[in-house]
Amino acid sequence: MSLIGVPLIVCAVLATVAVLAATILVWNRWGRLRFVLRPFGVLLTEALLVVSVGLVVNRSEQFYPTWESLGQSSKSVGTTYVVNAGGLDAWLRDHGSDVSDQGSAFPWQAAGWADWHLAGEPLVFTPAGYLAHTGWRYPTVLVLDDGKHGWTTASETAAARGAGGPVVVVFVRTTPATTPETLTSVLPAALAHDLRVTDKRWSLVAPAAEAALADKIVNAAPGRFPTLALVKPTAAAGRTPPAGGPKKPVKPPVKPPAKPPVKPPAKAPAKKPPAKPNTASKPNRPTTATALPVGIITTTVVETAFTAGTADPAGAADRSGLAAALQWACSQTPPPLAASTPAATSLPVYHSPHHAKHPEPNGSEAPKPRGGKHVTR
Amino acid sequence: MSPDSLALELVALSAAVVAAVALSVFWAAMRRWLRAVVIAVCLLTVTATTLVWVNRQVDSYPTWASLFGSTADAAVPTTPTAKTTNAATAGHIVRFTVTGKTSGITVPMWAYLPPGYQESGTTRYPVIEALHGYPSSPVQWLKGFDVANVLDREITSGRMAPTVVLFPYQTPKPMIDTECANLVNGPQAETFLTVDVPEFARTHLPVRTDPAAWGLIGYSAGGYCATMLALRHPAQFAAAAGLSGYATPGIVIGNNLEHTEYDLVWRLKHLPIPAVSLYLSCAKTDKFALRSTQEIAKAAHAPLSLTIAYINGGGHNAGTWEAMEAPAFDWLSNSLGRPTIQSTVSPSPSTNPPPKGTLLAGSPAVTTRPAGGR
Repeated sequence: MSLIGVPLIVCAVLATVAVLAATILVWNRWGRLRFVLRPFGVLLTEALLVVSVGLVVNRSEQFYPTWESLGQSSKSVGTTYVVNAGGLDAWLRDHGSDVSDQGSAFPWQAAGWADWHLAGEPLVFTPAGYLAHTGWRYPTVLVLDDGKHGWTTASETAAARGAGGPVVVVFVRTTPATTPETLTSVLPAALAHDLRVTDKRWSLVAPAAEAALADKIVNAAPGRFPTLALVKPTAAAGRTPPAGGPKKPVKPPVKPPAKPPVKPPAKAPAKKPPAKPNTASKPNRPTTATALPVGIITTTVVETAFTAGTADPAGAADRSGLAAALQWACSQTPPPLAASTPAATSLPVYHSPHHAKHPEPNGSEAPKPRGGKHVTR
Repeated sequence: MSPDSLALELVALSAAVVAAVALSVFWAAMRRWLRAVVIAVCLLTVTATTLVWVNRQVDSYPTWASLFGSTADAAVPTTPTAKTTNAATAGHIVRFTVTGKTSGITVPMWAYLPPGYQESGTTRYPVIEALHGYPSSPVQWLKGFDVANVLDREITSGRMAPTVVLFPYQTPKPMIDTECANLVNGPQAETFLTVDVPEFARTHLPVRTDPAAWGLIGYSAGGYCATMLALRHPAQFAAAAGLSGYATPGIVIGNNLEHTEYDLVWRLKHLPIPAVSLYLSCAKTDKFALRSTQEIAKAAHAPLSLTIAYINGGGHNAGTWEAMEAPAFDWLSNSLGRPTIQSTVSPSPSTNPPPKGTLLAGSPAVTTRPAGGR
């Protein structure tokens, strides 16, 4: 008999009436025993009345739809995924490049990378501590390098190290033949095979000249690339800075205001919250090929004459537009985290003492960490 | 002895038993009117016992003042109850009173401050607004769901970044169901949650102010709230987790808005879809929430990112939400920006202010440094 079914409610109501009738019948009978039966009958009637009302409410609101749900364990504690090692983790460890805790920078020859229509193999930077924290998965910053900004391997490595947080940075040498699909699906899949990286909320950095490709990437994979930083050079970039200090940044062309969203046919609300400055979706951006949806967070980093022409290469790397863009992009991503507690798929939550017997979540569309398997802690 | 205490429940239960016994024993000695009074007392006491039990389940009225229409303070443990807690591994709960200058709503709000939190420190934390159901109150998060211990466990185990979690009321009076909307000729709850609460947090807590680091979570009515607010305010919130939420507010907002802008399916079908991330979770036995989740999933498409997690068993109850709690917080943390370190460098007077929305390389504006290393 279902907990939310009509038969149970009918039974409860009939039982209430029956007990009430029985209580009335014995009220003046059975001698001294009636002084026990009376309160017992009254309390039982009250309890059954409460149960009847509770069943009706429960049927309406579906609080406890099944008998099992009344006594189920609720804590999804003690179960987590283990993060599998990346394909290059052992190679990185063998090369000892992480020993100094400075991170590693290496040309990445992923399987099939020659078909990606790049000008060269991507440069990958793994952060300090990558090999020490084998249970963490790292967010990624993807940097498009069109080869026209004068970014060198050394400056890119320095900028990646100056990103200020643990993040995997991938510099890809784009060409006009590079497709957004390569950068939104093929490259991430290859990277996830080789390194312990997350599968969402990466960040994208691109030169302003590559804004069209960047916009296509963001539009194609907004969940993976919800943030975009464009690096815009000044006309004076590369020249010696003037003695008067930082040069006023070049203001990028202001994009015309986006078309307002379609209004519903209904009347407007009487009171709306005041509009807040939408710095996230309305930055000053250079001309782009396609409009980005609301919610995509963008910014533009302007190279100044000061940063472009400084005589101190190390300092220049820290203060370059690329470094600033990487710092911003890194801050938009989550920190490296251990694999999430898997979404509970059933109640009561099953706790097995044996790792191998632990159930794999199913019946859920929640993303499963790549290559993960259950362990108990 | 608060309205949601075990002591009050036992007192009410005792009163119900005493009334029943009195009715039975002294029946013959009582006049008719007195019998009627005692019968009424029996019904009242059993009703009171039931209501106190219900209130203990949902914490709708955590204080006596709240019974009379006030969202007053409640006794909430300020530190988690785990035996091994210390300053490095345990966060704590603090209480504020938020005076909503824009919405006109003034109510208490609790905040979870993560392990290692220092008010004067340079760390700027991501923020999650946690919304309660109806009828309920933020106290259910704090007492019913033991949220502080859950957050401590997720943060110290590295599954979640240190995060400030806010627990605001979403109604000025417990009996008014706002569904976090701006009711026509009623409370402006949406303004309170999207303007006043963020403004308060930015002013009083070391939190990040950019939308990449702001998220929402809620159960039942709060689940609808979280999803609705993320869809309506994508420039303020990057992600939202709705636990057993619905697709419609289920109340009259006014101007037919409950059937248009505040109907999530209608909204997804007729208005531009924002690039936010949603996590929807419900029990498969919770038919209303399940149907809503399926309808939202059917209407949603890019640039919206949607993650759905169903539970076999469970229902529309606290036990189910407790099971959803930790995975949802973990998912949110993976969908928000990280804690950052605020630079202490003062802007140089000679620095030219960059255009709005533009970072000037080398300027103090871009010297914030992520603090992910733990």
